[in-house]
Parts: sequence; structure tokens; C-alpha cells
Amino acid sequence: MAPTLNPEAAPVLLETRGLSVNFNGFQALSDISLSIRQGELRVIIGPNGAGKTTFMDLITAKARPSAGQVLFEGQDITGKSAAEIARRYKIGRKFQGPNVFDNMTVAENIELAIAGYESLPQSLFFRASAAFRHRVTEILEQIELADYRDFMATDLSHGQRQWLEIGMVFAQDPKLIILDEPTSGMTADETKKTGEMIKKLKGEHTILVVEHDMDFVRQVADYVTVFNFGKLLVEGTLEAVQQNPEVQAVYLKEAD
Amino acid sequence: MPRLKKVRQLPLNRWIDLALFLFLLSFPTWQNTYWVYIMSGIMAYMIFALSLDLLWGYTGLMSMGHSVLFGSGGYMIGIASAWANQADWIKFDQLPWFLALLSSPLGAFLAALLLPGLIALFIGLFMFSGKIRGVFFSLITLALAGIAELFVINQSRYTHGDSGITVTSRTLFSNADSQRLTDQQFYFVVLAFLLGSYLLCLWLVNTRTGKVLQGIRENESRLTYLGYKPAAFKLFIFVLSGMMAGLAGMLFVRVQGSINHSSIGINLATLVLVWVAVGGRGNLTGALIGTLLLQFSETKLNSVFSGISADFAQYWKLVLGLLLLLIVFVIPRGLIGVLLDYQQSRQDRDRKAAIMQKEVNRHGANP
Amino acid sequence: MSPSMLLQLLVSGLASSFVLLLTSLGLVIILGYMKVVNLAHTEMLMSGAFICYYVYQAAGLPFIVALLTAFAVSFLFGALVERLIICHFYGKMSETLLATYAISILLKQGALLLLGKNYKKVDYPVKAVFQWGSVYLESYKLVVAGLSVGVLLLTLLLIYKTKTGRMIRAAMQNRSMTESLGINTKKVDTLTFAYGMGLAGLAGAVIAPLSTVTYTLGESWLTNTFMNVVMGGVSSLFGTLASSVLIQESVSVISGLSNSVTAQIIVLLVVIVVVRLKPDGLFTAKERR
Repeated sequence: MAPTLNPEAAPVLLETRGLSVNFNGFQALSDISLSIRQGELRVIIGPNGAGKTTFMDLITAKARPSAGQVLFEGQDITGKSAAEIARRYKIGRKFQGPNVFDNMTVAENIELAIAGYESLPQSLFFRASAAFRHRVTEILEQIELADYRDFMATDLSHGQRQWLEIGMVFAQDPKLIILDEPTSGMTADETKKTGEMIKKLKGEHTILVVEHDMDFVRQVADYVTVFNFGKLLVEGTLEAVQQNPEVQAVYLKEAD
Repeated sequence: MPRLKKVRQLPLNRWIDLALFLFLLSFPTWQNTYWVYIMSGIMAYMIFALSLDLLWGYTGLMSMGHSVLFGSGGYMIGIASAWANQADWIKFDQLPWFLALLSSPLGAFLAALLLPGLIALFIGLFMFSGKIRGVFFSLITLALAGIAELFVINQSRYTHGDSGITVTSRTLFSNADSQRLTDQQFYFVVLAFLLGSYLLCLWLVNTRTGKVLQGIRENESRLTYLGYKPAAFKLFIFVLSGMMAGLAGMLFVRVQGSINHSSIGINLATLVLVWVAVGGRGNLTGALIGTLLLQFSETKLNSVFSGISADFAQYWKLVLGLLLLLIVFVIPRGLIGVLLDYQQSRQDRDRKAAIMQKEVNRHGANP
Repeated sequence: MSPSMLLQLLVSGLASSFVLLLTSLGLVIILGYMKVVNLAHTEMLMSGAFICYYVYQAAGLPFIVALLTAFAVSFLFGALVERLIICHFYGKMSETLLATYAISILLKQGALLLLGKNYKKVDYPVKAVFQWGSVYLESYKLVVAGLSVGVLLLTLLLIYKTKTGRMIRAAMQNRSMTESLGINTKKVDTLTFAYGMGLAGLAGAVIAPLSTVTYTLGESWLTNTFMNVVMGGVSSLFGTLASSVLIQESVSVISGLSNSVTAQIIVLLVVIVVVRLKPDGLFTAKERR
């Protein structure tokens, strides 16, 4: 196995320390400590209800942890607002199920996502430069929607809407890209294309993916983290993890 | 010819806007003074409807008490005029400090814009932060309209209570009786403001801010995760929309020559919702056309039926209720929305055909 | 203000609280369980009051018959409206507001054109007036308070102890899951909406003796009932109870000091501040997200 970059050498981008969350007596996550290095592509897997999405919610301030810290580039970002985490710390997230601006065109969706003009005065006096328009086209080509730029997002297929949201996250030009089940509801062909899109970003961007589809995981992942019942079960290369008897037990039980 | 292509791709409704403004421009040349007067009032209402469209149609904030902003602007002019002409019901020798601005004509003009802006600012500061449900904004504004109506009736010292205020000056700034533009002249003043308001709205909705506002309507939480703070945008548009409603109220009072509590209460607040809903929200044209159609029909039908039944106004409301139900069921995007959907679906069909053709060509080249 | 006057204001305020509670319950249930703002609610109150007038005052039937008729008629009307209109617009806020507003226009203008502008008066079914020192209270207001609490408890019982109630709560939590369990959520929706409308009609009949019955009766309740819902929130009916008491006691006392319009303005400001601080209502049931 030869990863494109040696993860041990790069500095840590995201670190969580003892992250726990408790919803009304239900321990959704307990004591998650993990770190992701710059340029890494990390996949989190685990059965339903293992706390994968909750983990992403804590990083992007959709939910607050009951204990623990989230550190990004060494700074404590626990308790910052969602907008601040997106804008200042540059963490972009794609949600489960396409979460886009339905009654706006594909191009408008991408334009809104391009970072750097989020305040009211900036947006009021914004004029699209040639470079800006070029960037929009570039992203649309990246996500295979260049021909669909004037369609309303609501008129796209499910898979295309997923791509659109992935494109919106690219447009944010984030330091950390978080993708929550990017291929759910996609055809096999679309899933494969999505894998290619993500692999192209490998190395330049740091990417954190939650995924169910094991073919997809095999396609993109070098290093995976397994969650189960809100706990971090094991981390390692895909091969190593698949050999792990505990993981096998979890997935066998899931298959029943 | 890329420019020509751009013109061809212009949304259909912009042509309707153009036709509408040409119609309004020529209207006084072939209509009598009565209809010029009626149309001036309708144009003031059109500005009001545009202001609601920015808020509701574009941003998704359904204000159910927008009349409060319209009426508070109108009342500023009403009180200023009553004071300038020392109306017989005025029992005070000096304007109180909170109305001091009304002593000068320009001050009254500013007050009619500022007061609605301030009311919107206050409501917005509380309602647009935190996790307050969108529907609560509608309910609070509705309650505000109910209370505002009671308030102006109650404050008869300044508002002449139930009877309302007669405003006889018809100029832009002066509140003195002696100064008066003719119906025709004032028609063009209102038209100029309508055109200005329309152009401002058109510019705004096409800026990036306009897109952010639509983003708020479509998916506010998504916007947050793109790094935006929707509260600031909502506050901005509510205040702007409020000031525009205030402008409409001010012009309306001068056209009609009076103002009373019905211009600030729930009745007008819901009426403007009906205009915008029928015309179609979120495209500006719908607000203009909806207002024109419904207000024009009401006046016209009133002149026909008032001889037959004294209860025409009540039957008209019943008709509006049925019409609203019909619109919500059959064409929820309103009259203009249907037109735009049709244009969009035709363009989509052409684009899909082009994409298919491209696929065929590609596969033809390397089978 | 003398202590006895204050006491009188507090007592009448408390009595009015139960009136407000009763007139808001249907609205809260429909908003809380179906996420629909029913703008026709107050016009249903008005219709209930008219039913009370015709059944009790004009036809001379017992008061309880008037109450039950008002409930039954409104319940059926609600079921009809839900099946024909509301069921098409779930999840669309603007559309449900417009549709229910349209229904409210039809009810109001219908009442005006069919029944005229005349004021109708409904007699108190019980006429005694209690007196403690200088504090007076009409016995009918006690009846209303009792009815109001009774309806609240009955509603809680229905929601928490019956099978239909469990279905309503289940449908509220997770619609698709409930559907996949074979529960007919459509039927649940119709029942909930009809029940909410039924309560509005009942409340209208109950308040008929306290007000003049005319086509504008609905309008006069609009502001208070909607403010009540905003302040009390929809996650708990006890929130509605608390907010009813808070609103009516404030209105009563401030009206005594100044006038009723000032009281309403102050209460609206309080509601705006409260909703800012407690956006989910006064009593928040913590939920897992």
C-alpha cells in the first residue's frame, strides 16, 4: 500500500479530545479522541446510530458537546457559531441527503457558496469578476453539472443534487471538507464518479467522509475510523480494520 | 450577437413590467381625472406590495402586519398636515418631543420613512436572532397590526381617533393646505416613486445580497454552514421593506387626502398579502399586477354594483376569499409565477435536448 | 390603587385567564401537533358563539346542548376543511396561512351576509354573583374556569392515555416511521384538526354570554389568542396555561392602572422579549435531536 502522502509527517489539522455528547440521558458519543492530519482522506464507518453524523454535528457546531474539545489548527473551536466555523476556520460540510437551495439555479447555488463575500456590505456591492465566473464554471465541470447551470436545483436528479452540494463545499474552498454520506441514493455509476471527484482532491485538501457504501470506501479510503455505539472502536488502514475481529463482529451482526 | 441573446433570455415578466410602465405613463392622457386619481392610489399600493414582495416573496418572511409600516408612515404625514393647518381637533399648542420632527415639511417626509424603519428594526432585532420559528414572525406581526389599529383609535389626541385625519395638501413635501398639485401632476409624482422603487427592488434582487435573501427563503440553515449570518440580512431587508412601505403610506395619504385606522390594521395587512399571492410572489411583477388587477376590479365593480346592493364591499371580500382559495389550490405561485414556470420548463426542454445531442455526438465519435 | 381594587383586578384577570386558555387550546393543538397555523380559528370562535345564540338563546334549549352542538358542528366543519383543503398543504407555511385565512374570510363574510350586522346578546346560564368583601366575581366565570380546566385535562388525557392520542404523538415525532407501522396518519391529521376546530367552536359558545355576539367577535380575539400561542409555545399545554395567566393578569392590572390598549401594547412587548429568551415556549420539553 502506497498512500500518496505520508500522513505521519503532515501536521495535525483537526483534533478532538474526549468529545462526548448526551441527549437527554442518551449517550450519543462518548470520549472520542482522534486527529486528522493535513492532506489526509479519512473515512468514518460504523453501523446506523453509531454516532458518525453526531460527531460531524459537533465539529460544525450543529450540536454542542457535553464534554471535550474540538481543536482546529491547534485552536479551540468548541462553542464557536456555525457561521464562524465555516467562514473563519474554513470547515465546509456536505449534509446527509442533498441540502441545497431548491428554487435557485445550479450556478446560483455555487455562486452563493464561493467564500469571501459573506457580510452584508460585501454582498451588496459584489460584482462578479471574470476570475469569479471562471471559478464557477470550473467547479461545475468538476461536479459534471456544467450543462445544467441554468436548471433549478429542484429539477435535478437525486445524484446530481448530491453533486451540487459537494460542489458547494468545494466552492467554499475549505481547509477541511466534511462529507456526510456523499453517495447515498446514487446509482453505481454515479457513486463511482463521485469517488473519482473525491480522489482528485486527495493531497491538496483534507477530507473527512462518513460512508456506508463499502465499495465506495474501498475506492477512496486509505485510513478508516470505526465507530460503534458512540465509541471509537478502532482506527487503521482499511485492510487492517477489516481484519479486526471486533469490527467483523459488528458488521456481521449488522448483516443479520 | 450575445447581447441580443441576452435580451431574448430575459424573463418574460420583465416585458410585462415594461408594458405596465408604458401603460401607466400614458394612462392620464386617455383617462379622466377620477380614474387618474384612482390609479394614483393604486400605484401607491403597488409600492406597498413591492415592499412586501421583497420580504415575503424573496426572503420568505411572511409579514402579516405590514400595514403597520404603511400606516405609520401615512400617519406621520397626516399628523404633520393637521398640525401645519391647525385642524380644529388639535388641542395642543406644541408638538410633543417625539413628534417634533413633524414641524418642518422635510422633517415629516423623513419621519414617514424613519418611523416604519425603526419599528421594523425593533421587531427584527428581537425576532431575527436565536431559534425563533419563522411562523412566529408572522404571528407577532399580525398581533402588532391588531394592536396598532387599537392604538391609533385610542390616541385620539394625535390621531383624531376613529374619524381619522383629513389631509388636503397634495405636494411632495409641504403640508400646508394652500399648496396643492393637480391630480394629474401628483399622478406623475407617484409614478416616479413607483418606478424608482421598482428599479431599486430590481437592482437589489439581482445583487449577491438578493441571492442571499433567496437563500434564506430556500434553506436558511444551509446558508449558516456556508458562513453567512442570516439575521443581519433579514434585519436589513425588513428595515428597507418597512421604509418602502412607509413611503407608500405617505404617498397614499396624499393621494387619498385622508388617513384612518383602517390603513394600519389587519384588514389592509391581509389585503396586501392577497394581492401578492394572486399576482405571484418573488418576481416583483406579480406584486404589481396583483395589486393593479384586484384594486382596479374592486373600484370598477363597485361603481357597477353599488346601485344594486349596498353590501358590495362585503360581497367583494367574499369573492376575494374564494379567489385566494382558488389561487392557493390551482396556481400557488400566482398568475405571473405560472407564466415564469412555463418559460422555465420550455427553456429546460431546449437545454435537455442540447445535452442529449451532445451525448449522442460524443458516443458517435468513439463508439 | 387600593389593595382591594388590585385584588379585584387580579381575580378578574385570573378568571379571564381561563377564558383565554379555553379560546387558545384549539389553536395550540393544531399548531403543535400539525405545524399548521389556523387563521380560521377565531372565526370558528365567532361561529360557535352564534351557534350558542341560536340553540340556547333563540331556541331555548339547555346551555349544555348549545355547547355540545357548537363542538359537534365545528368538529365536523374542521374535519371537512382538513380533508378538502388543509391536507394538501402540509409543510407549506405560506400556503396553509393563506388557505386558512381564506376560510376565515368565508366564515366571517358568510356570517355577516347571512346573519346581519346586528348584535346578539346571550344571557348568563347561571346568574349568581359571588362577593368576598369588596371583590366580586360572576358565578358564570367560575363555570368557565372549571370548563376550561376540564377541557385541558380531557385533552391531556386524550393525548396521553388513548390509542388515538398515542398515534397523534407518534405521527408528530416521526411521520414516515409511523406510516410504515401501518398507522393511518391521514386519519390522525383529520381527527386532530377537527378536534382543534371543535374546541374553538366550543370555546366560542362558552364565551357567547361574556361578549356581544356579532360577526366581528372573531377579530377581537385574534391578537390575544395568537400572542398567547407565541408566548406559551406549542411543546406543552401547561405553557399555554402559564402564558394565559401571565397575559390576562398583566392586561387586567395594567388596564386598571392605565387603559386596555396600553396594556395590550405592553403585553405584546413582553411576548416579543419572552419569545426571544425562550423561543420554544415557557415550558420546554427537552427533546433529543
